Amino acid sequence: MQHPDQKYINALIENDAVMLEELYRKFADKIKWMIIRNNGTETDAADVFQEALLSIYNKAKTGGFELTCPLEAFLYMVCKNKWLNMLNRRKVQKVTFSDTGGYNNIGEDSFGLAEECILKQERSDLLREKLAELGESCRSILQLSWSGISMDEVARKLSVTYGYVRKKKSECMARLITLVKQSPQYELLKW
Amino acid sequence: MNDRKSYYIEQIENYLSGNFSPEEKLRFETALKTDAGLNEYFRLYQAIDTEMRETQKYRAKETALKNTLKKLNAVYFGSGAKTVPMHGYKKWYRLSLSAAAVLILVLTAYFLFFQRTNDLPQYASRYVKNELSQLSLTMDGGRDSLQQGMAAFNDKAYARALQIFKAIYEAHPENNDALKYAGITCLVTRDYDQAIACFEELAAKKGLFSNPGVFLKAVVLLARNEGGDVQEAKLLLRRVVDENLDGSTEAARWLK
Repeated sequence: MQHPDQKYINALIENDAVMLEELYRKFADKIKWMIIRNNGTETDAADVFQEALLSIYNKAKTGGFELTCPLEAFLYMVCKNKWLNMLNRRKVQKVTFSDTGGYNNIGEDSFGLAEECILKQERSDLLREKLAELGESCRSILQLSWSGISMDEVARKLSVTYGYVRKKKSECMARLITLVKQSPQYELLKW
Repeated sequence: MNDRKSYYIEQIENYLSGNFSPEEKLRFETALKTDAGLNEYFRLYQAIDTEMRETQKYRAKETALKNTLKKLNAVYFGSGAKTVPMHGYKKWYRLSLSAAAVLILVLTAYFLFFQRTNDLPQYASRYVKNELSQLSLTMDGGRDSLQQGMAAFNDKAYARALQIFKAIYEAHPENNDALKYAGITCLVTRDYDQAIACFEELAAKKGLFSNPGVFLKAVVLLARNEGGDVQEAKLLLRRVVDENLDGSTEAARWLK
């Protein structure tokens, strides 16, 4: 049976503004309180909350995302981990607040799902960053090839030959993979 | 070094596009086992390809959602918004926490000792939803009939997908992907007997680089969940773990 809070996951997928407002009304203040109590500001809290929701959306958008604990607990876990990552990136003193928000028994599945939401989002962010470092022609070829059209079609759209576009795509992917592998986060993101 | 990287990528793309002859395919799959560099590139290539295809597909929806969240953020994280603690510490609340803790202990014990076997069908159900409801098309999708079958499957045109997979397998009994996809199609349409037949046939094939037959048969048994199915599935999952067959990571997690 579906968890009653699955409605909020569906609201993210369907961009249901009414239900999303209910989500904010119920949970935003609590997350804000957690961030502010742990060296953050209200702006930090806003960023963390929005990013957490986008991470959950990105994991849920392709289907099969089943909430097995209350969203309040799940969101708390995602926000807490995101906030710790942000603090560590800012190189402030090592922060390891052990506050679990009172949610100690939410299950291994939910912990795993929360971690996967964050990792997936961070992998996606890293790919976007590295893609931006490639030249315009590489970006065009790769983005067209990922848009679901055949390589014949990509070649036609770019007015080049099929052979050229295949070879160029291989080169661009090789460069993208190299950039990703060279980034300091690569090993941490569990590809 | 750059030549080597480009060579890896060309090989990976030819493999994923189905451009290899059966001999070349076998050679590539053998190289995946022995060449750690190729294996890492292959994994990374697939991860990037899947992620970026999803990004492209959902770009408009994500932008719309971001706009909604931005507006709500402005309201709920504005200067006037109040903060409330996660939990108050009123006496009644502490009492209810204690009661909840006792309840959780009882439930945890119950789940640990009595429900472990019952978790397996749930794991399998989630696996079918997460991993088998969409098949990954390669970049040259539409060029060969296997890709057409996969596209039909993804469009939920299961009868047509099954017809295509069966026709391919009859014409090319060495095409194990067609057999696997036929089994998956039967699984999602709940034709469990046919699905088991497909995966048993797949599992019986020797010398394949990748053979998820045993694991998928266990998934079907868990999905069917009739008398004795779960016990038989557990034995198969144990075998998958012991022999390090395809699906061993999931099997090990499910059996914990």
